[in-house]
Amino acid sequence: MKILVCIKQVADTESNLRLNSSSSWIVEDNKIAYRMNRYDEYALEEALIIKDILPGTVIDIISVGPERAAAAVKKALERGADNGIHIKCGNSALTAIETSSVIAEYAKDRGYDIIFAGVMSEDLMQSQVGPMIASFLSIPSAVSVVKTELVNNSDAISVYSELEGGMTENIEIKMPCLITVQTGINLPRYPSLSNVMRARSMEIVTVDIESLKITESYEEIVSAGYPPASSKGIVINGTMEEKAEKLLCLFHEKALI
Amino acid sequence: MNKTKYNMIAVLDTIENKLIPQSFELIAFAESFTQGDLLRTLLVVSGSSVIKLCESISENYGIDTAALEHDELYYPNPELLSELLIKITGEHKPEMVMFTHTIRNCQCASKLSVSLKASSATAVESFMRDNEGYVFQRSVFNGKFKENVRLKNPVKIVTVLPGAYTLTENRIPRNSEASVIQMKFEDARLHVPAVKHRGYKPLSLSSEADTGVKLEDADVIISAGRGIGKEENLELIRDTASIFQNSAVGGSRPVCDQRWLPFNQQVGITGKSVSPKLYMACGISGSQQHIAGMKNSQCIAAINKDPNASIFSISDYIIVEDLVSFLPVLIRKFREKYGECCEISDHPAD
Ligand SMILES: Cc1cc2nc3c(=O)[nH]c(=O)nc-3n(C[C@H](O)[C@H](O)[C@H](O)COP(=O)(O)OP(=O)(O)OC[C@H]3O[C@@H](n4cnc5c(N)ncnc54)[C@H](O)[C@@H]3O)c2cc1C
Ligand SMILES: Nc1ncnc2c1ncn2[C@@H]1O[C@H](COP(=O)(O)O)[C@@H](O)[C@H]1O
Repeated sequence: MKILVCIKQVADTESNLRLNSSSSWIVEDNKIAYRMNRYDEYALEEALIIKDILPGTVIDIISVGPERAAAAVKKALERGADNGIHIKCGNSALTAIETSSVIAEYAKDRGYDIIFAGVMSEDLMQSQVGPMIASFLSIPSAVSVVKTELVNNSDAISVYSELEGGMTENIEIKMPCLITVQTGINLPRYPSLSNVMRARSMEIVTVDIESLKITESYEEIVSAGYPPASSKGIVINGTMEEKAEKLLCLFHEKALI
Repeated sequence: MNKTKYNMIAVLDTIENKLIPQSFELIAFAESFTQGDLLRTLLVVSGSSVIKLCESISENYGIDTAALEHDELYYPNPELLSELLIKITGEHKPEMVMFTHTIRNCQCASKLSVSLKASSATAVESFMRDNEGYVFQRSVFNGKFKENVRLKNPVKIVTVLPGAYTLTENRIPRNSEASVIQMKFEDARLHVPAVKHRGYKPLSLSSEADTGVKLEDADVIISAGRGIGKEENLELIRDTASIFQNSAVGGSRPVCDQRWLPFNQQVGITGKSVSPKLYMACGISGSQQHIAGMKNSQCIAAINKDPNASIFSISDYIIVEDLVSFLPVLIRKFREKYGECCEISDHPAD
């Protein structure tokens, strides 16, 4: 089996994110911590589980992003992936159509049986890159998958797609296909020492985005802003003790305690 | 098919031929987008047998409605649905195709976007019109920021965030002439060049059997988010719950993903929808998906160490603190002033 896992490096929302002075995007400086998109950690783990079952499996990692994105590819190699591909580009906020077109362009003649992506990137929150890659490649896709089962002697996989409202749909999908993975599907492993050592000596293939055919964006990010401040709530101030007392008082007034 | 060329297509998808409640919000969005003129808006209802449903929608709302029927649309089938929509969109060349924001509809929107070279944006919350066209607003970075996206191409596709537009019945202009169109598709008549949906076969639909705690029945829900840091801190959440009568412990998705709480205690769009007298969010950032499941609570209190956490924008009581230090103080103060804690019935059957 040959698997491609799409991994995005994202800014950690808990590091001090701010908008730049022209409010066009966030400030990208060394105060920001970057990490692997969480959904993609689960996508990678699902690929690794298949490799545990079918040892001949090869897992390639692809990430489109600036210089720093190579670190996320490295992390994936430490978890046990076989090859890392970094599509290098200056723009850290490519739109879904741009990102998916270059990934599809890279993947198109490489014979992947399954392409895994996350359900959503935590920064752009589009939930589009996965199905768009599938569309460019004319392969079927299943989204928000919370369980996969290989079907013996078959080119199909049985997947369970999570619907809003607590339902799950069982779908049989034929390979080659693309699957977007939802969190909770598995428990991502920690990198083993031997894989960390192995990853150290592994070269990441760097491809310049200019060398791939990219579909020019159909959208344009015009500006960004902070959400409007809350007007409704009461901010409870004071020392920690005072805050606790005030809150209990409010609960008492509302007959909650 | 009738001869009207529609410039707005709103797709109302069904599950087992039943609409999801938020579907009608699309009408409100369409109304806003067209400034009230829905004469060239077509509601497309997809399913395996939805003609009756379409008749009632068209009668109630006075908007042209099409039944997009195919046997394989009984269960959600975004692969097939998008192939069919590509065909319809090709005929009408509308300015806008819109969906309710769900993950499957993002899949449809994405496929349409690639096939039709259409601009698209998902989870849109509002839009603005300016002299260059339309700019759509949506959340990024888990709600920390909003971005404004211009959809540049002639055909635009959006998924509209549930709750962003609400339909008030009496604003709907009634067009008593509204018609119902039946579009029945069988594969043989689908002259779409690359019908790949054969590689995609929905088999069945299931709901989690609900055992143990009934989160929906609790008067007070104390909810744990990723901010609790480690599983042991769930004890703090349980102890906090014990100061209230008829309380239960809930959690955000990451807490359940890590198996710290069972999935049936997850609150949100893919978990439980709750509306207790008090919902206390501890270490929860306030993502759209979480808020969707608890925003109707009568009172919301939130404890978060980040003063800009989005959860505060919907909270009645805002406490900026580290929950690991704050909750023990809260519990101690309760004991000093109000005495004993209650039994909580929320321990999962383990
Ligand atoms: C299709 C789909 C469906 C989803 N469905 C759901 C769903 O049903 N329910 C759901 O919850 N999520 C759902 N999600 C996930 C959702 O997008 C968010 O990722 C999730 O809600 C975040 O959970 P959180 O707030 O606990 O964690 P985070 O967003 O990581 O927030 C943690 C918060 O804790 C605060 N914090 C950290 N340490 C402390 C401390 N010591 N004291 C106080 N505060 C602290 C931080 O400031 C931060 O605000 C879904 C996502 C998708 C794509
Ligand atoms: N720049 C990128 N490089 C690699 N994969 C990406 C990139 N952007 C998005 N993806 C993949 O697409 C998924 C969905 O992203 P999005 O459509 O932006 O919400 C992510 O979880 C990744 O798997």
